Amino acid sequence: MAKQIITLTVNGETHEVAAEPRELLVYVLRERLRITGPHVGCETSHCGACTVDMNGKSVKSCTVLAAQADGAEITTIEGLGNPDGLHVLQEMFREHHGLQCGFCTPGMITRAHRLLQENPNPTEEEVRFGMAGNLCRCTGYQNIVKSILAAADQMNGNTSSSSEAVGHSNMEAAE
Amino acid sequence: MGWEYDSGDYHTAWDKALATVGYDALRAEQAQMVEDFKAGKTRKLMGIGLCHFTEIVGAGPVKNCDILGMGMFDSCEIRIHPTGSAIARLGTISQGQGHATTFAQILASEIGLPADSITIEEGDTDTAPYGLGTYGSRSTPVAGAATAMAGRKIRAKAQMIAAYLLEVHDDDVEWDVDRFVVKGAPERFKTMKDIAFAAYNQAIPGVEPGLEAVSYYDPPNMTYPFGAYIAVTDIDVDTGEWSIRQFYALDDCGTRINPMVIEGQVHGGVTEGLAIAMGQEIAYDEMGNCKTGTLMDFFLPTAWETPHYVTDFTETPSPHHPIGAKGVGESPNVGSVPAFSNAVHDAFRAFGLRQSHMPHDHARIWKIANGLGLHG
Amino acid sequence: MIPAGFDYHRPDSVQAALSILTEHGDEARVVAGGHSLIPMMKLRMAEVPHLIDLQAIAELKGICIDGDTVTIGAMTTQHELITDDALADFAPIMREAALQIADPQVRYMGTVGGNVANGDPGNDMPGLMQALDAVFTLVGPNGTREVAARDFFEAAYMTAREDDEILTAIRFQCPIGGQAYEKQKRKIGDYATAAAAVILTKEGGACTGASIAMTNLSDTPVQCLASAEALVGSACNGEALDKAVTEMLAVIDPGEDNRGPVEFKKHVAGVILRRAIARAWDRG
Ligand SMILES: Cc1cc2nc3c(=O)[nH]c(=O)nc-3n(C[C@H](O)[C@H](O)[C@H](O)COP(=O)(O)OP(=O)(O)OC[C@H]3O[C@@H](n4cnc5c(N)ncnc54)[C@H](O)[C@@H]3O)c2cc1C
Ligand code: FES
Ligand code: FES
Repeated sequence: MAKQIITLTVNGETHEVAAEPRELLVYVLRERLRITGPHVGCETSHCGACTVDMNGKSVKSCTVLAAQADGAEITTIEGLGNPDGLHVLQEMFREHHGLQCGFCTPGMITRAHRLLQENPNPTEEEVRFGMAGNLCRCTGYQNIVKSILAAADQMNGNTSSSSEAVGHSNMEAAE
Repeated sequence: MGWEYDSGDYHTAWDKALATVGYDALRAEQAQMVEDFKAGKTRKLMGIGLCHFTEIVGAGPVKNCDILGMGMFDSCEIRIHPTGSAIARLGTISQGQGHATTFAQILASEIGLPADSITIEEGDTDTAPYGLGTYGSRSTPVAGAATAMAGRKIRAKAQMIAAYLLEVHDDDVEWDVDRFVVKGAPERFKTMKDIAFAAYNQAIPGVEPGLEAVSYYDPPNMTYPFGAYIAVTDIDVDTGEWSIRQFYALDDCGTRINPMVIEGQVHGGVTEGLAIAMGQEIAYDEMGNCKTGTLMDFFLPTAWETPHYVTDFTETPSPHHPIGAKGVGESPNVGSVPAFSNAVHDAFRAFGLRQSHMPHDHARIWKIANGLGLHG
Repeated sequence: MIPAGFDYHRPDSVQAALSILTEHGDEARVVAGGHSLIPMMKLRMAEVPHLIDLQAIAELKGICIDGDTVTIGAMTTQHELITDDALADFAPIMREAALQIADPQVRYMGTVGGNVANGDPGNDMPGLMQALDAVFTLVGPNGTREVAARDFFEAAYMTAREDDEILTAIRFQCPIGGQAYEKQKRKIGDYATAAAAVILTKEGGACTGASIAMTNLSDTPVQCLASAEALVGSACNGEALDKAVTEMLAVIDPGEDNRGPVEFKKHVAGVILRRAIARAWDRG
């Protein structure tokens, strides 16, 4: 099938790429644009390693076709921070040992970023529910959750950490 | 002759575990729940899964252990740069276990250079010393020991250099955190950084220039970490659903190098145990097709199913390891699977359950309850 | 896992979409959120030479409450269903059910139209739509028609929608009374082992009307008329409740899969239904 020109704004930069419509967004990002933050874990929409932010939503880019993404605004981990200027979430993941092998981490942080945009003050339970589309094989999630709660605290300008507190059952706020 | 446990203080660990979870109160609550269940007041049961385990890791003595004929030593090569920074190369490889942190810390405390000025390099077969790699919790017990031993060789040479620079006999200086100090004259010293510079830039009679060392460590024995794990699980008798109310993991991995890294290993290992105990299975149909080929069917818990763990420790150093460390990566996997499954089993103990099969997914738990006549 | 090649279309009106659909016949298929269709295309279980993306069609989006009727555009995502407070007031069961679908990322993409048009017995919206007695609007080359959710599902992946029709909206009346969506699943991201949607009205301690549908216990959602009837006039307990469960068990037909054997699923279906009824009753 013929390639078509697909316009993607990734991390603020607009790219025109020739891609087949059937290509998966994650491969367009990784192989055509060399933006390799989004990882391919399962390729079956279960693990969330490929999570990117597309038009303000967390999506699994292994289940989005290149053509569907045409015209979209995309943020990947590369757009959130870099080694010289880490995003608060990146900093908190480092601080609280929120990653081990790091395979899930770009997806985790990209998802967590959207979660905190929508719910800046989540409880532990809300974080766990809101992060349930991302699998991690290494950390048992505990320090990921801790890192996200700590990042929320920082972003809200709190110095005292409430990250050990377990919140009330309120799954809606996690959405 | 069999293997000999290196060290263990099992009663202390076990008593601490039982006290921390409030074991007696849990048993009382459980007995009440059984009564309420029998009286028709609840359809829930609670199980307390206990597991006290020892591990055997850190393979292993070359006289006993080999892979395809290659003895299971491990290794570390250290080069101290004239600037006082260092690089250490090891025969292991980290997949996220935090080797760069742990090994740098081991070396920092042996040679007195800050951990963040020590580069740890693993996995490049062009430059790495021979080693048997990372698995079975062997990295710290074997390569970590090699790191400490190589560090001590560095320090031994540094002592000669320091004594020369301070114009005293080798035996008249002593090690103090990051420097050699003249005994009885603490104002006279040379830091490891000073020594590193001198090692390359000053002719010292009878001493080769440079500051490097290599250790191939052949462990005299395995190490035997141990732990006490307790899982408290609520069971819905009618649907087979479970939820982990509490999970307590006490690990004794000997000398603790980096508590945060250890905790991370435990969280991850226990979660893997949760997956194995409560749902993971590679099932096949009659035609031999794998039925559990996606992560929807092959159980990998999300942050939602995974509980908030409580970790704890006792510290019983290994007598034969240079710094007393035993290894921890594998322990949580060993302890948690029985702890989770025992909790399910324990929930039904009052009703005469003698045997049940893993993984304890909803359908199997339901089947246990059904087999015991609990569905009326 | 990459789908076979296709021509991609992104029309900006239903009419334009229809004309592409008509032009290519069974060579064409619409995609909404793609979170059921794309996995099938990747597995090459669905081949779609012409893929018509509905994302640019504004008229398919939005939630419109007008008096006691709500109309939800087919392209409204599950995430939008959850975050719409007006809808949550109007029909709390929508939010309750949508929160139990898949995971956050899937809910940002998956649409209510796709969830019902898909015809997968595992989907949660079809049973819910039956309980709500929703009506689906279908637009085809011969105009617009409406089909009740209760008549829509024919078999697994087979619905009353013709290949050349687009589902544009779902519509239902404000559910009166207590409502509950109860779902058992193995983990987040899993389809139901069993799920029940229950809506009950009560007056003076007696049930005056009931609507019940079960999910993933047959090759279509199962509306349980006799169960509902059994509850009317009762306090939704005792013999009436037992009868409601018995009647439900008579109409479901679950198959064995990785979630468990048939016997287990039937038992769980009974338990889930009892719980949904109890909760709906408490909320009524
Ligand atoms: C990991 C995972 C877990 C999931 N878990 C659940 C779950 O627990 N419960 C649940 O209900 N769903 C679940 N889903 C499915 C998810 O909700 C889907 O998104 C949904 O079923 C389909 O919606 P869609 O918009 O993605 O449809 P698409 O995938 O785009 O389309 C599905 C089908 O419907 C047709 N179609 C779509 N829109 C229209 C329309 N307007 N008119 C005519 N035909 C149309 C398409 O041609 C296609 O055949 C899960 C999906 C994944 C990937
Ligand atoms: S790679 Fe996309 S969800 Fe796993
Ligand atoms: S850190 Fe390894 S998968 Fe999450």
